Amino acid sequence: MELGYPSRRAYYDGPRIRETHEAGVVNFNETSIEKLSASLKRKAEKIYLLAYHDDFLENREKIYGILKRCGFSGLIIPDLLTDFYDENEDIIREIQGSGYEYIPFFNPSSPDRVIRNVSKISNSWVYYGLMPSTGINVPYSQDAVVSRINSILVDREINFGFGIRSVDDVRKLVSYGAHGAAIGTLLITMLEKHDIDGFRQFINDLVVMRNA
Amino acid sequence: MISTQNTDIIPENWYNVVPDLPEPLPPPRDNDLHKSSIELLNRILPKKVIEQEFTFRKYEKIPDEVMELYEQIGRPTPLVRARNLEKYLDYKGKIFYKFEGATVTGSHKINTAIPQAYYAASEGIQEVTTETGAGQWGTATALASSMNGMKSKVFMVNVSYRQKPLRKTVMNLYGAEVIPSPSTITETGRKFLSQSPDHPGSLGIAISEAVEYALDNDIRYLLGSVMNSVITHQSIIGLETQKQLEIMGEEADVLIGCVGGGSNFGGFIFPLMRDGRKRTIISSTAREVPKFSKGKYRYDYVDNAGILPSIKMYSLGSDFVPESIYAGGLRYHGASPSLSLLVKNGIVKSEEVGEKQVIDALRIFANTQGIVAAPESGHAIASTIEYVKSNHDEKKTIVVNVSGHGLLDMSIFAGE
Ligand SMILES: Cc1ncc(COP(=O)(O)O)c(C=O)c1O
Repeated sequence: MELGYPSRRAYYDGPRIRETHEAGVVNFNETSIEKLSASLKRKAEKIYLLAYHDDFLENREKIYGILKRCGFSGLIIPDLLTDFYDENEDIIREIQGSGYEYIPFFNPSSPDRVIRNVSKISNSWVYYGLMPSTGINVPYSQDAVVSRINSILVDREINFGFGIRSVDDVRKLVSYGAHGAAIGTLLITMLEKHDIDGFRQFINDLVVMRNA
Repeated sequence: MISTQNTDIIPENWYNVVPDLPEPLPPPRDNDLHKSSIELLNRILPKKVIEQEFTFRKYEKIPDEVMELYEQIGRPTPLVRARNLEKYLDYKGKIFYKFEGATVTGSHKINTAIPQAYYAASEGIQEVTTETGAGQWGTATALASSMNGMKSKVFMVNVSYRQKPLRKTVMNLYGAEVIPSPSTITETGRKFLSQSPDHPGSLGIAISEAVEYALDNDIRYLLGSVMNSVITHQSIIGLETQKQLEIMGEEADVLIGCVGGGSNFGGFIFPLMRDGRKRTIISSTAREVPKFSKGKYRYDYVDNAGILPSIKMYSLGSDFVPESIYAGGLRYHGASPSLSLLVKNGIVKSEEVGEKQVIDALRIFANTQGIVAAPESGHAIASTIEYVKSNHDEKKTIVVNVSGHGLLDMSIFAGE
């Protein structure tokens, strides 16, 4: 499970998730993240915090505090390898040195050698965005995207995100060799509509698919 | 003499540099919190072009239909040793030029207009639109559309429209409708006209008008430069050059080209850089548009109205109003993200050339090689001459990309 640290600069999120960040920035407090993460931990083996680079740097102490108190396993910084590439080694070492996993975030535009180098210095699973931003639709071939990253990173757990709209999408990804899929925009839409039944159905379908 | 113009020279695939860059390319960003201009691309560009914009694939097959049209418009273009220029400069090394002016429309722009028009037509689109500054891009779009059985509408920057009536005639001959921008047919155009009825226009405004027109009429917009997909199509320049050099038994030590949005330059250098050999690579920009020296490397608008997503590039700001120089194609405020990244890393050197120096270079090139090059290409030639002068005793092999001919831009010599 992944929880987002609210940001005014959620550039790699699509409009729906950007709106949740906007609300998050206004309503954010540490108690709410503690409560949320506690309930998530009852359901998930591991939880991860997603924070944009500038928010991480500006609130470093606070974020490490949250990671510790709430029992997060690691951190995802979606813009580190694009806009702040020069800093990646130092930040990755710092996060791992503090006892947390650093989750590299790549997308189809990440050059091969960058994927190889960053994967070498990080020790956890990899997050791969199927498209340049969440919740938007641009044409691409899922099959080709998944085999590309699988061929560069053999024997590494890769979880996919961005633009996954249905159980069917997840099923296809898994059949191409994905280990997991991140679902964001779809859930926000359900949340907004208070579509609890839809959500239950979705989870059920996922479980059925996994057990099949 | 070995023929380096056999059609076998045309490669089977285009080359996309993005997966080979030394650093990740910062992706495009939305301009508005509540809307996605990235998703809006689905209604603006042909699908295949969007796919190529974001692809991780290094090689993209050139469709047979595009290949056939490439041959029809004069590909492969020649790579010629400029012996007379070498003699004139008393250079001990060698100078070669790749001549994109040999295509029927007179510049490299047709290399991307053809596939974009082809993809649009294959999706059932019947009309396309675009902007043009100097006129080369509009000319290429006009012909590529007709060759693919589509109509085209070209928004031409008002000053150029008035100064270059022959350009309009060529576009009309190729079947395009040419409209001076700002125009009354888009909201963006009307806004600028209401501020000043005699508005000179700019590339940024013309792009916004064309994109708006495409959205309003559910047709497609063709991209002239800057974006990854365009540079991928333009890689045909460098891929051909590489084969031609191989046939001649030569290796390039120095690569020189001019930069507007970066498409002829990127298309020329990227394939040649694949071998990782150490080379001097010089991009020549207009001194009047000092994007690499005075511009900032940052996210900025591609078009004036901010309809298209922002991209990270060296930019002077989308509201930058350049002096009116003859090299209209170099007046754009930014440069492609992939090229900007290499300039930032110092892999590509940048040089600025003023108009007087360009005119001198064009004269020398016409005098020695018989080619009246485009004012844009004159920058690359001027940088080549400058390089030879400062490295006179070196015995290097220089390859310069001459992106177009200047036979419709002769007014540059009028005042002399
Ligand atoms: C002949 C010629 N060269 C160069 C350019 C600059 O564009 P780019 O940098 O995209 O090649 C233009 C643009 O109009 C042009 O017409």
